[in-house]
Amino acid sequence: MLDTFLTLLQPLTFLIILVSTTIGIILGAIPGLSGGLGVALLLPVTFGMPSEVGLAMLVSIWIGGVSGGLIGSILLGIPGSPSSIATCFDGYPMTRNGQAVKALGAGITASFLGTVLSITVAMFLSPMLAKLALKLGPWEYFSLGFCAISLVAALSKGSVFLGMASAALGLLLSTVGFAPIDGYARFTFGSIYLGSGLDLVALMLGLFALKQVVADYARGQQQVPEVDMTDIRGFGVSLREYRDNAWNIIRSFFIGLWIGFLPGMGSGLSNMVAYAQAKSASRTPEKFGEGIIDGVFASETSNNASVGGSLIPMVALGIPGDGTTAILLGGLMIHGIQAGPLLFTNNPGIVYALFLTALISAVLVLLLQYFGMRLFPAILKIPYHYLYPAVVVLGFVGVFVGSSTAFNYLLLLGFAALGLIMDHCRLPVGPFILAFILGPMLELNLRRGITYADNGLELFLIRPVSGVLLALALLSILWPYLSPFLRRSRAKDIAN
Amino acid sequence: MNTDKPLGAALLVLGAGGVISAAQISVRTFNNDPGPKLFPMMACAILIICGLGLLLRKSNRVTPAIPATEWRRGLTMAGLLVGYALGLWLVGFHAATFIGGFALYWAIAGPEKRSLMRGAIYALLLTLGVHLVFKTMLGTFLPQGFLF
Repeated sequence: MLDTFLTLLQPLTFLIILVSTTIGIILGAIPGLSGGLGVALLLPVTFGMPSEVGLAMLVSIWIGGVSGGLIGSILLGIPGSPSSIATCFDGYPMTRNGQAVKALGAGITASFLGTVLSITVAMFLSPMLAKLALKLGPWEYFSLGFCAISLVAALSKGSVFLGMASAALGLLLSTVGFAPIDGYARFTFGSIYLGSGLDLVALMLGLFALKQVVADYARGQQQVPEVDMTDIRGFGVSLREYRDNAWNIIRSFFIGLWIGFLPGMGSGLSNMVAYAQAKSASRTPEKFGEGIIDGVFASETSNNASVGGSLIPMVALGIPGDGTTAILLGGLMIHGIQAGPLLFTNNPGIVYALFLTALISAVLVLLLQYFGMRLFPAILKIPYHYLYPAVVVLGFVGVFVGSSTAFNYLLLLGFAALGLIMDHCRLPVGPFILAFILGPMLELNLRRGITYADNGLELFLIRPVSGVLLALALLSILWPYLSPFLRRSRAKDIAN
Repeated sequence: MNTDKPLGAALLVLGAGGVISAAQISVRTFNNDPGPKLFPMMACAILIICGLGLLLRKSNRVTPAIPATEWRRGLTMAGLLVGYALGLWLVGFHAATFIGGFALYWAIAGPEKRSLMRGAIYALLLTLGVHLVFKTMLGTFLPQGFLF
C-alpha cells in the first residue's frame, strides 16, 4: 500500500490527480455535465498511461464531479448532476437568504466526510459487504426503490396525494421507450427518438434551469441575492451546527453507503432518501425547503458516501454500482485488469491505487473548494441579464452533447413547461425525479421478481427485508392520516 | 383559485387514458412474466387514486391567479426559448447562440440596463466561450444546423 501511495505522490502523477480533480469540480458544477461525462470523455486519454496513473486520473475526475455538483445547486438552484438534486432544496433557499457561503461550507465539509469515510469503509470491508449484496434478490431491490419513493413523496410539502401523484407521473414517464426484458416500444408514438426513453439531462435542466429562468423573468425578479461575507471563519459553519447535525451526518452517511453499494442505485437516489430522512427526523420539518443547513448536510454527505459504496461491488464482484463505475470498470478491462473477487489477490496495487486516489482527491477537493468558496459566490454578483442567457445556452448545449439530437430541445422545453405547471399546482418535484430515475430499475425487478418463482408475487411480501420495506412504504403513505388518531387517543389517555 | 380540483380531474383523465392505452399493449410473455403493460398500469392506478383523493377531499387552499403582466412576460421568455431552439436546429450553434444570447440579454436587461454594444460583445463572448469549452477542450459536437 505504501508503494502505491508513493507512486501516486510522484510529481507528475500528483499533478494529473490535481488537474483531473479540478476538471471534475468544473464539470460537476456546469449544468448538464458531470464527472461521469468527464470520465467517459477522458477514458481514451488513459490508454497510453500506466494502469495506476490512468485509473488515478479517472477516479479524480469522478470524485471532483460528485463534489462539484453542489456549487451549481447551492448558488443557482440548478443541480449539476442527479446526485445533488436534494442539495438544491435547501442550498438554494439559503443562498436567497444571504447564506451562500454557509451552505457551501456545509456542503464542502459534508462531501469530504462522505467521501473519506465511505472510501475507508470500502477499503477494509469490500469483500464482506459485497457478499451481503449478492444475497438480495429482485424482490428486495423493488421494495427498496418503492419504499424510497414513498418516503420522499410522503414527506414532500403539501398532501400525500400531491407527493404520490408527482411520483406516479415520474413512474409513468419512465415507461416511455423500450420496455425492459422484451424491448416492447411503449408510448413512443412511432418516434425513434423516444425509443431509448426520455432524456434525464433534459428533464433535470428543464425542471430546474429553464423553468427558473422563465419564472424569474415572468415575475420580473431582477434582485441579485446578497451574500453575507462578514465574519466568516473557516467553512462558515459553527461548531454547534456541526454538533447539532452529527446524527444527521452519520445517518446520511450510512444511507449513502448502503444505497451506493446496491448495483443500479447510486448517489442519484441516496441524496433524496437522506434528505427525506433528515426532514422526517427533524424537530423543525417545516423549515425544510426554506433554507435549513440540515438539508445540505444530509444530501451532500449521502451522495458522496455513495462514491465509496459503489466502489465496493465494482472492486469485489466486478458489478458496477452506477453509470460512472461502469465506465471505470470498462477502463480497468481496457488496461487488462479483471475486477472481481480475485482482484485483491492478483492486482492489489490497482485496488490500493483506486482507493488511495479517491482519498487524495477528496483532500484536494476539500482544499480547492475551501479556497474557492469565497470566490464561488461571485457568480451571484453577475447580473441576471448576463447570467441567465448563459444558463439557457448551457442548458440547450448540455442536452445536445449527450445525445447529438435536436429532439432533446423539445424535451427540454416540455419539461420546463411541466415544471411551471407543477409549481403552480404545488406538485413537488423531488418524488417526480426520483420516480423517473428509479422507474426502469423498479420495473425490471418487479417483473424479474414475479418471473423467478411460481409464487414470485408472494415473495415480495414474505421475504423479510422486502416485506419490512413494503410495510415501511405503506406506513409512510398512511402516516399523515394515522398520526392524528394516535395523537387524539394519546391525549385521551393522558386526560383519563 | 383552488388548483387541487382541476389537478385531480386532470390526473384522473391522464390515469384513465394511460390504463386504456397500456391495456392495448399485446405481447407474448413466458414464465409468469406480467409483460410490459403491468408497470404503466400500476403508475396510472396511483394517478387515478391520487386524482380521486384530490377531487374528493376538502381543500380551502387558494392559489393566487397569475397576473396578466406575468403571463405576458412569461410567454415572451417562452417565445425566446422556442426561437433559440428553432435557431439551433435550423442554423446551428454559432449563429443561433450569438443572436439568441443577444435577444435574451436584451429582454432580461430591460430598457434601463440594456446597451446594443454591450449586448453584442456579451453574445459574442458567450458563443466563443461555450465553443472553447465544449468543442475545443472537451471535443464534443455542437449543433450544426439543419440548413448548413
